This record gives sequence, C-alpha cells and structure tokens, in this order.
Amino acid sequence: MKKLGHLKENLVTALEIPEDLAYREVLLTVTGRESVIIENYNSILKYTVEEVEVLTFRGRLKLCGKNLEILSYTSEEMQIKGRICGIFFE
Amino acid sequence: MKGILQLFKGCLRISVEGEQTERFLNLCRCQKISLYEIARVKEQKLNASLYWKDFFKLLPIRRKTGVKIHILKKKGLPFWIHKNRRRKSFFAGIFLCGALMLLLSDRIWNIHIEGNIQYADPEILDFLEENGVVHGMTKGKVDCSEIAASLRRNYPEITWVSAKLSGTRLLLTVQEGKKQKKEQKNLSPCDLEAETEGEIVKMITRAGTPLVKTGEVCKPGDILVSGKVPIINDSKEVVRESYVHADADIYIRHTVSYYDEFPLAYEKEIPEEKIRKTYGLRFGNWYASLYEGAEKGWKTVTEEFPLRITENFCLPLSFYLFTSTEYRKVKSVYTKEEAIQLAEKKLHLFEKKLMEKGVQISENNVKIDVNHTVCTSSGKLVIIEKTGRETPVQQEEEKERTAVDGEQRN
Repeated sequence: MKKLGHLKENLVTALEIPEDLAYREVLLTVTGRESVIIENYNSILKYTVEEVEVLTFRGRLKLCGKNLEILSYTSEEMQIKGRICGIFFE
Repeated sequence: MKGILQLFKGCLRISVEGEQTERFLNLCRCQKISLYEIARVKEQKLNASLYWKDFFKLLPIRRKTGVKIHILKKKGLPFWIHKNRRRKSFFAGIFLCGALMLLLSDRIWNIHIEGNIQYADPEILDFLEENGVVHGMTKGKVDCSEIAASLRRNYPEITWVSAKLSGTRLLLTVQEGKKQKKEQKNLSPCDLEAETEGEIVKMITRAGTPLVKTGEVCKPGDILVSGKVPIINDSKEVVRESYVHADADIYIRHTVSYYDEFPLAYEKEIPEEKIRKTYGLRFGNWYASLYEGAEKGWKTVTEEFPLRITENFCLPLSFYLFTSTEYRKVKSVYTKEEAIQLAEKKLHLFEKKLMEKGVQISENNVKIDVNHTVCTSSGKLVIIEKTGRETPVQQEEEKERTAVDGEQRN
C-alpha cells in the first residue's frame, strides 16, 4: 500500500499534475483580510459569526474572524466575507 | 449581471431556524440548491437567499433536518407578475407593444444615401418611390441588387452603387463619375467668326484654315478660321477644296465699359429690441397659424420644422416659427470711405461675374469719384476672352481641276 502511495506521488511529480487535482487538496484564495474563497471542500461542520469549520478531503479547515458571512455556497466553491483573523488546518 | 439574473429569475430571502442549520446547508449543496448571502443571525438561526424555483426543493431537507423556514422577502419578475396579475390591460399593453415592435422591425424605416454629389437625396428618393421603394415597406420586398441596377440604369453618371439592408435601414452608397456629355457635337462644316471687336492675343487651330494671325485686329463678323481647306498637290496647285468643322481656341483682347452710380443718401434699417414669435402648424394641405401677416415696420423670418422619424422619412406634419423683428428707418449718408468701399465691392462683384464666364481681366481702368450727392464708378476694363462663333460655311460646287479643264479655260 505504501509502495502504491509512492508510485502515485512519483507519477504526479513526473506528469506535473496539479496537487489539488491529484490529491483533491483544498484550494484557498485569500484576498486581503476580507475575503476567502474555498474550493475542493466536503461540507460545513460549524458556522457561527466568529468561526467557520469546513471538512476537506484531507482534514479540517478552520477560519476564525468577526462578522463572517457566506456570500455564496455552491458545490464548487464557498466564498466567505468578513474580518478574518486566522486560518487553521487540523 | 448576477443581480439582473436574480431579479429575472425571482429570488427569496429566507430564515432557517433549528439545531441542524449546518446540516441543512450541506444537504442543500448536495441537492444542488444554490444558496447565497448566508448570514448567522442568532445561534440557531441564519438567513439566506435562494432562487424562487429552488424553494420547492427545500421540503424534504426541511423534513430531514427539522428546521423551520420562513420567507422574509420576495423579489424579482415572477413575483411582480403575480402581484399585478389582475391588471389585464397593462399586460395587454406590454404584449401589444412587443407585437408592434416585432411587426415594425420587419419594415424599412430609414433610407440612407451617401456619396451622392450631383443628385440630391430627394431626387433619388423620388426615383426610388417610383420604383416602389418607400419608407415603411416590408424588408422581404426589398431587392437590393435590383435597386442598385435600376439606379445605375437611370443615372448614367452613377458609376457604382451598393445597396444593403442593416436592421431597419436601407443603406445606399453611390459613387459618381464625370458627367457625360449627352449632346453630341454638330460636326457639319462651319467657319469661326469673331463675336466682338478686338486684338487677337492667342490662337490655336485644330481644324480649318486660319485667316488671321496673332496681333491682328478683328471686327465682329470677321471670319477667323475658315472651314474650307484647300487640298494641294505636289506642284502646289489646288486640286480641290475640302470642307471641315472649324475648331480653334481664339482669345481676343478688348475693352468693356463699366459705369455704376449710387446716391450717398440712403435709408438705414435699425432693428429694435422688440421681437415677436408666433407659431403655425401644417398637416398635409391643412394649415393653421397665429401669424397675422406682414406689418409695416416689421421684418419676419419664417422657419419650417418638418416632423421626421428618420433623416429622410418626413411625416406630413410641420411646425412653423415666425420671428418678427421691429425696425425703424433712419436717413443716413455714406461717408467717403464707406462709399468707396461700397463702389469697390460692386466692381469686384462685376469682375467676379466676368471671371465666372472664363474671362481674364488684364487691365482695370475704373475710377471712383465721390461728390456731395453721388458716388460714380466709371472706366474701362481690358479683358481677354474666348471668341469664335460657329457659322455655316458657304460651300461651292466641287469642281475637280484637271489638266483638260485648265486647257479649256486657257
């Protein structure tokens, strides 16, 4: 199984496939402290005014801030607006 | 763009209250229900917006999660239509407007002509009207190639025509060539005779026998170039005479008298500040106006404003504006400078008229005198102009001169 993992890694490196496509890694686009766009996520675990917790395919992602608001929420991406204080991976 | 789409599709602002609001959001995502502007209001309550059609998909999700959904606001076209559903005449008006737009957009409302210099727009429009191409005709009846061909046929000076339809416009682009001389020259044998008395300054003969030389003085009626051309043999004897259409450029110098006189006293019209504006209306042959007619001491300028839909499509409705200005006549006298200036202006106009006829002015001997009452301009202008009037040549019976004839005469 470990060998298979290594093989996949080598193949991805050799073919120069973006990692977000190969491993379904979460993509974050941060614009200043006001806006974050999250792609490749699974579901929302928690949503409050001060915290948004998202389940990704490789773990959890936590966004802390103030007055957080989800501007759009579709199957492809989620756009969060507000005063962002921190982004944590768990 | 997104806002316009939301208004067109119709959107709802809802509040979702319950313990499983996050699960509600995730299930919405799974069902491909787009939620936007999600804001947490309370610990167990959030507000969100969604499209009107997606709202009915929320029922199973609501059952699963046990949340309470309230509609806070409705906005967009579907709700507006539903609200105004009883206003039938309003919707009938919108429908009629759409139908009219559809009907009218199938017709020609503007005929635009460009590139024409010799032929004015109204002239071409009249011709098109005769051929059935008018404003308001359906686009299906317009045959662009036929229009172009008929224009070329009727106007030989138009060398190239392009006709094309662009929306509700018929665009005609024409190119004009040089004007073809329709009149064919009369090439019957003729002489060229002098029209006026003068000295010949230049002469170029193309056909015929010149009878005068440069520097000679001719009188009116003198034949300058004869249409009779003698044919000479090798022995320099005249064999016979041939008659041709004499053709030459002959320029003669002669004098023209000029006299002009005008009194120094005149009446000057001074406009007053009083301006009166009246209006009129014309519909077809029917005419109505508030203008009472010309009055003494008033000058009136009439302006017509035809009502037009497009640049060449005029309706039979015109508005008139009569602007009357009061003036008073004051007796005045020209000063010496003013009189000279006016006399020079008149002389200049006379010279301009002469030059328009192709006359060159070589000398100007006009003197301007101003006395107490009148200003007199008199003198002579020396001009050079083209002469040579065609007169039929008197043909003699052609006698072939032979050696036998010569012997008999002797």
